[in-house]
Amino acid sequence: MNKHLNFLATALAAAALALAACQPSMMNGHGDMGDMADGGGPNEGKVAATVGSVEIVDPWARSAAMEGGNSAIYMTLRNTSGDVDRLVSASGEAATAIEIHETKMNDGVMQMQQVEGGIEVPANGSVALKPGGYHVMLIGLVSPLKAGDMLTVTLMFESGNSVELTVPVMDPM
Amino acid sequence: MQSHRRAPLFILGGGVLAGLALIAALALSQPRPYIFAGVVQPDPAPVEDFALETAGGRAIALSDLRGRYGLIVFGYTFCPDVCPGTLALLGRVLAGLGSDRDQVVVAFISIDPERDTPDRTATYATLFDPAFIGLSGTPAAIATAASRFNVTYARQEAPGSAAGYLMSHSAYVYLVDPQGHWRVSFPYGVTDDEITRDLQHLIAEVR
Ligand SMILES: [Cu+2]
Repeated sequence: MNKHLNFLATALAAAALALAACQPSMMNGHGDMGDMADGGGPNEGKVAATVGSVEIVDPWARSAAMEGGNSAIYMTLRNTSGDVDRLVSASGEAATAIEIHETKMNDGVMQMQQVEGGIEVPANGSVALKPGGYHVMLIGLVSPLKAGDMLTVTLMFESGNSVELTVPVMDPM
Repeated sequence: MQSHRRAPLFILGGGVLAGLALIAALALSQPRPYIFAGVVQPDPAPVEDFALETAGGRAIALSDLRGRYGLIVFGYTFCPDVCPGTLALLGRVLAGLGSDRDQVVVAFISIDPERDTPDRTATYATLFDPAFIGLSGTPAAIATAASRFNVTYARQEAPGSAAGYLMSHSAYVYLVDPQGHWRVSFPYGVTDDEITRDLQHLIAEVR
């Protein structure tokens, strides 16, 4: 009898453990420290503009309330051709300077730097500019950016093509 | 005769079922250990005090935050990407706590005193939530504060950039409990919901 109960207890404990294991995991939060999706698959997102063979998908600028502060523009660049292109520079009136930057995370340490040679848009592929990664950096905002505002930025590519892009300002989710 | 033989079996079967139910109830009522989204400090110890300055040069020490949970984050106002993302996230954490938000205080500590005066840092922090405390100070005071959480930071020259220089820095959010013990560190990438849940767990634990 006791033996049986022990066996049952073990079996039930195992069942309880299995149940516990089925709980949604609370580990491993994904890399969206409150931010947007990163562009996704080949046909996801809305093409805001096409420049040469590069489609600019879902551009947005981070709201920034600080007077004279900085911010960043994000988007996905999708290349529909077999030739590599690069986003080499950006310009506009929204900020004193507009540069191509990259944030990198090394062992929990955040480091940002200007991207030498621009951001590669691989042939028949895409690259995401997203929080914690590549971004078009707005240095010295002429006026604060609030959700719902629009700003204009010109993007220059290695192919020689450029485009004036209208970018909505959003609060990161 | 047959029914007589069956009766004890019946009773035995009923007993086993009852026992099974009891064990099941016991097994299921065992509290499962809570799994934190953040990295739990193995031996929570009191954080040695340090003092910095907020708006108007007013001194604020870590010990002034006692009695509430502190969420402490290091960064700089020039940062366009990770720092504002983290502060916006912590704003949503407070919002997610509802009436418990008063039990939590968010402190943003600048590691760039050259650009970030106490006033500028305080203004910047309150743009994300009026309750946020922005802190800066002398390079020595900031170094002391950073050392309490093993925060590393460094100035990087950016000669080709209008930025002039940029700062690299640890991108964790540190959770200090109302007794001043460092309990949890949240790496970049943990969501607002996960931090809120960890806080709710800690708050419920002491209720
Ligand atoms: Cu940048």
